[in-house]
Amino acid sequence: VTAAGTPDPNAVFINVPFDPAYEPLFVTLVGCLVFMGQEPHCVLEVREKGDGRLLRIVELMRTCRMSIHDLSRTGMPVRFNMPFELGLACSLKVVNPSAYEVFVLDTRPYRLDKTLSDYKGRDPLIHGGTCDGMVACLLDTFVTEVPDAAAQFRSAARDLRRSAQLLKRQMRASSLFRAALFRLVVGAAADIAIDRGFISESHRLTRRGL
Amino acid sequence: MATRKTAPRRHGKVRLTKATASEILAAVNVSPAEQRRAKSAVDSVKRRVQRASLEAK
Repeated sequence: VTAAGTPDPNAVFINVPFDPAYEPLFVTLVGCLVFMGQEPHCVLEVREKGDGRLLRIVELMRTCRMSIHDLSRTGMPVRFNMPFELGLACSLKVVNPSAYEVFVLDTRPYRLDKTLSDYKGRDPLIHGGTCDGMVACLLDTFVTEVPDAAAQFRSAARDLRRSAQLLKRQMRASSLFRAALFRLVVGAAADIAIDRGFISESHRLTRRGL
Repeated sequence: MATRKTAPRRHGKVRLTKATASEILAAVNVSPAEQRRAKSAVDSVKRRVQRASLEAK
């Protein structure tokens, strides 16, 4: 991996397990990133065009300033995608240490010391498999100026999860992990974030002080 | 809470620059139609929550 041009300072690549049990955590993660004014990206945006999915994933990661990897799925069936993409992210970090940040999520503390000992020395963020734990992880990691952010984000994420379930039902989708639903969840998160005053709608409105 | 004990504190919290909603929507390629649909779902949930809250009173 070579150093790319300037990445988008607000773009965050998220690398999480796409299974039904993870849906609420996924929506909470996407939502909180939007609430903090970040642009979430994930492999759902990467379409197979015949030129290799791997290259397109790397290109997407190179447009981001940081990535968040959830390594909480360690059982059967074995999932290699998440640690593989973490490896790609770490290579971006090695090439340009000050321009890229890597964060790892897990369910249980100290487990990663055994499952990925090469990563020792960096503490993963432990969400405990709960949405509130996910909110706490993100607030532990990132600075936000939202007053009473923990309560505000928990409440907003709850609304977002309800909205996501409604959108999923409307689309008659069996899974939330679809490109169109990902965009809708980001759209819903942005709407909630504007409504609650976490982010502004546009620079024009910001200048007017609205 | 276990979560707080294990977060990386050595280098402190990460300061973020903040994008606006329109920048976020553009970055993720959310079309105006998708944004309207998402907003409608959020509004519907909001109404449902308000109704449930009123009924609870």
